[in-house]
Order: sequence, then structure tokens, then C-alpha cells
Amino acid sequence: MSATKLFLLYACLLLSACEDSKPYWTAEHLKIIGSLSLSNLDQAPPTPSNRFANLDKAASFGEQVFFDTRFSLNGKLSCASCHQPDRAFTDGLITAKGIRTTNRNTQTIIGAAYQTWFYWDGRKDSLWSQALVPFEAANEMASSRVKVLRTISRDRNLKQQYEALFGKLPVSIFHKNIPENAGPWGDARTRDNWFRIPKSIQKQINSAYANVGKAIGAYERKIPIPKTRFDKYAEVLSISGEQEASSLLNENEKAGLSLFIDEKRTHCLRCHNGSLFSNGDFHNIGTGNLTGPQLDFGRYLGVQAVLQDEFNCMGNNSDAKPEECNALRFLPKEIHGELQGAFKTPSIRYLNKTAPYFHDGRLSTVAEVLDHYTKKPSNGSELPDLSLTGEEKNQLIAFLATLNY
Amino acid sequence: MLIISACDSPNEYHESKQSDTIQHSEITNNGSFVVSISTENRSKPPIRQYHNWIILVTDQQLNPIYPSVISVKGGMPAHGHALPTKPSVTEYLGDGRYRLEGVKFNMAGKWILLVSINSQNVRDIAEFNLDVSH
Repeated sequence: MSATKLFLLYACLLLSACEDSKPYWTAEHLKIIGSLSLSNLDQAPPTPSNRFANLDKAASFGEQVFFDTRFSLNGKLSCASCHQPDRAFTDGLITAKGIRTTNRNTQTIIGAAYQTWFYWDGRKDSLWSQALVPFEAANEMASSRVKVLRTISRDRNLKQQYEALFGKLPVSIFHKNIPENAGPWGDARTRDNWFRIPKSIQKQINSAYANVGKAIGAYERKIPIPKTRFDKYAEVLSISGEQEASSLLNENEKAGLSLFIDEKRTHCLRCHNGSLFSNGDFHNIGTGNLTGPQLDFGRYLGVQAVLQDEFNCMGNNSDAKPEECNALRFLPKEIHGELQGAFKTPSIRYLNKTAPYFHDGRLSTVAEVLDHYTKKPSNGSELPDLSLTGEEKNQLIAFLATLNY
Repeated sequence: MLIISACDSPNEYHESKQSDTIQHSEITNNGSFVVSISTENRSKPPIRQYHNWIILVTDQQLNPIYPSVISVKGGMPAHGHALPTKPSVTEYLGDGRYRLEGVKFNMAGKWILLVSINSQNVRDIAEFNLDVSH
């Protein structure tokens, strides 16, 4: 046999082998996988209500405040008490614990810069306005805005940083008639003290307090979003193809990914879409506590709260023009039943560090969460029917573990 | 070698491409108006992002309709939920064109947009079926 004939025979054999090895993913699958990868995450959207949001010096000052326990009533709590960096900025508890136990599970702040709404019920419309709440919440740090500002002013280093960024701290915070425990959200005494302060001085205090939140927001925007084994797989898949990527996920994990993106079978992508695996919106999955001691209506009250929030995007301390406040401008303001018991879709990245799950931390394992979806709740949730075999559940769990770090 | 390279290429992936410009036109339910809509940047609608659309309103002879009061509602009928936002027409751009701001889709799938037109006491509705993709 001539060399030419041998080559042709070899070529034919290779071609037939190519025809037999069908790709695992279709073009549509690859598009969806790409949409979930961190490689395709754009820069964090601008936050016009915080003109300090992208300043390194603001972030550095905010980071120091974030980890500083002196701002709390008992001197033992900081933002990092619940948002612990080694737990993906959560705390591992069923519900957060400050001075007392709260009624909500701590959410991660990884990727928070990409969100529109904050808290499980979206009662805040910016990172900076959210960051102001725990200082004064009675169950959390139980402090007050006056105490926060005085603590900064007593620390030479912090005061210097604050004033370099925002200008002089208001002298009124040291006025002898203004007690340290004065704020609109604390216990009865704290609130009473606050409402005795003249409005003009309240305004100065609020403005300075908002600056502290803006610095914390700037720090939180810089918290990195760790890439995971799934991201590596998606990246190699898009650049080099299936063969190169194949060793990065095992068959079980790939089968789980296939189920996850199968919009007719599992519907996971309805809410858990995009690089952060969350659409950032509110859905009723049957977890609302509409009666009993753990009463929690979720978004139903969150809409009303954000509209009344003194620190929202259209408030006096926002740096945004009203026309830049899209979230508030186009918020459906009618209160309707669809929102009762609806909570914000959490990211499902880093589930190994963010347990327990759901707004009240009621479930401790990913397997239990999947069971919740297959046993559709009867209380008017928007969940579609879902049926999974035991093997499919394991495949989904295996895939979700590729989003851990 | 050429044959081996061809075998290595993930064929379907390289065939994928971005969606083209999307514009939809409908005659309103009672035939009073012709309504055309497209995203302001004329690309496919994004997911999870606030974005704007341009609404063109004409009569059946394609004469621009102005003034008119336009309101837009929508949702996913198969899922039983509404749009996550309440979009609003914010500006008349001339030649029957209006800017609609505050549209957001939070998932892929089949969405419906209902564009209500009220001009010179004539009211009519155009219904658009959109396929929003990743």
C-alpha cells in the first residue's frame, strides 16, 4: 500500500471518530454556561447616591470601621461579627446574633455591589444606607448615630481620615445637651433623646452619619468575588473547548450542571441566573411566615420601608439626582399579595460557607433545600412543580459544590 | 494535522453568535394604531438590568401619533408574575417616538408587554410577545 493510500485511510478513520463523538453541550448550553461564569461579570454598576463609592481612601476608612467593635453598645460587636470574611462574610448561625438574636439569616456581602436591593426584603436601596442600620438596630449593635460619630472623633487616626474625605465633623455632636445615646431607632430613651434634638442639628448629624455608611459601602464594593472550579471550567470551555475542559468537572458534576440549566426540567435559572446566580429580585417560594411569632411578610413590607427610608436614593443625603434613582423611580408601589412572603433571591455561590439557608435559616443542608423545591409548598408560592430522582438530586448537589471555594 | 485540528474544535460553540437588532411591530387590538418597539440601543433586551425602549406610534398610514398617553404593563403569563418594575414613558422624541424607561426582565423566557395608547380619546392596546434569552 502506498503512503498516500495509508494517509487517506488514517484520515477516514479520524473523520469517522469525529462524527461519533457528539459534543456534550449545545451552542445554547454554552451560551448559558458563559452567562453564569465570573469571567463574564462586568464592572460593578455605578452607585450615584454615593460619590465616594470608588475612592480607595473611602474604602480603607470604611474597612477600618467595618472591623472596629468600639461602635457597638457593648464594645464587642462590629459589622464583621456577622459578616465574617472566612465564612464568605456570613456567620454560620440560623439567624444573626447581635446584642440579641435577630429574626433573619445573615446574607453574604460578596457581590453586593451588583445588587439593587439590600436585606432579604429589599428595604434598603444602597449598600451605604444598609450599612447604617446595624449600628442602631436594638438587636444588633444597639448603638446610636451620635455614638458612632463621637467614637470616630475620639480616635485621632479615624478622625483624620474622616475629615480628609468628608470635611469637618459637626461640632454639634459634642454639645452638652446632646446625649450619646440619641438616634431614631434605638430603645425608648434613645429615641426620646433624638427627637429632643433640634431639626437643624439632626440634619448635620445625619449627613455625617451617612458619610460613615458611604465609606463602608466603598469597602464592601471592593470585596473580591472568588472564582470557583465552575468558573475555571466555563472559562476553559469557552476558550479551548470541551476536550480541554473535560478534566475540570466530573461526569456527575456535568450532569448536575446540565440539569441546572435545563429550563424545562428544573427552572433553577428563573431566579438563579447571571454570574452571581441571582436575579436580585423577590420571589415567593413558600417560606413566608404569615402567622405566628416569627411573622415575616418579606418584600410586602420592604417596599413600604424603602419608600420611607430617610437614607434612600432620593433622600437629603444621597448624592444622586432624582432621575438617577432608577430602582425607586420604577418600583411598583402598589402593595399586592404577590409580595407577601417574597424574599430576595440569594446567590448560590459558596454554599459551603453560607449555611444555613433561607431568610430564617430554617434549612441546614443543600439536600434539604432541594427537598423544599420538590415538595412544593401549599401556601400560594410561585414555585413550579419539580420532580427529581435521587440520582438527579445528587448530581445537582455535586454541581452546586463546584461553586464553593 | 489539519484533520486532527478540525476534530479538536468544539463545532457548535464556534457557531454561536449574538442576536441581531430586535424590533417588534403590532397593530393595536381595535386597529387604531400601529406600535413598534425596540430597545433604545437596538440590541436584544438584557436580563437583570434597567434599560430603555423606544415606542413608535403611528396610524395605519404610518402618520406619527402625538400627543398620546402611553402606559406599559407586562409579565410572564406562564409563570403568573408581573414585570419586576413599573416602566414609564418619560419623553417624546418627535415623529411619533416615545422613550420608555425602567424596563427590567429578571429571567429568560416568554414575556408579554402590553402597550396602552390613549390619543384624542381613542384608546387601544398593542400586545407584544417577547422571547428574552441569556
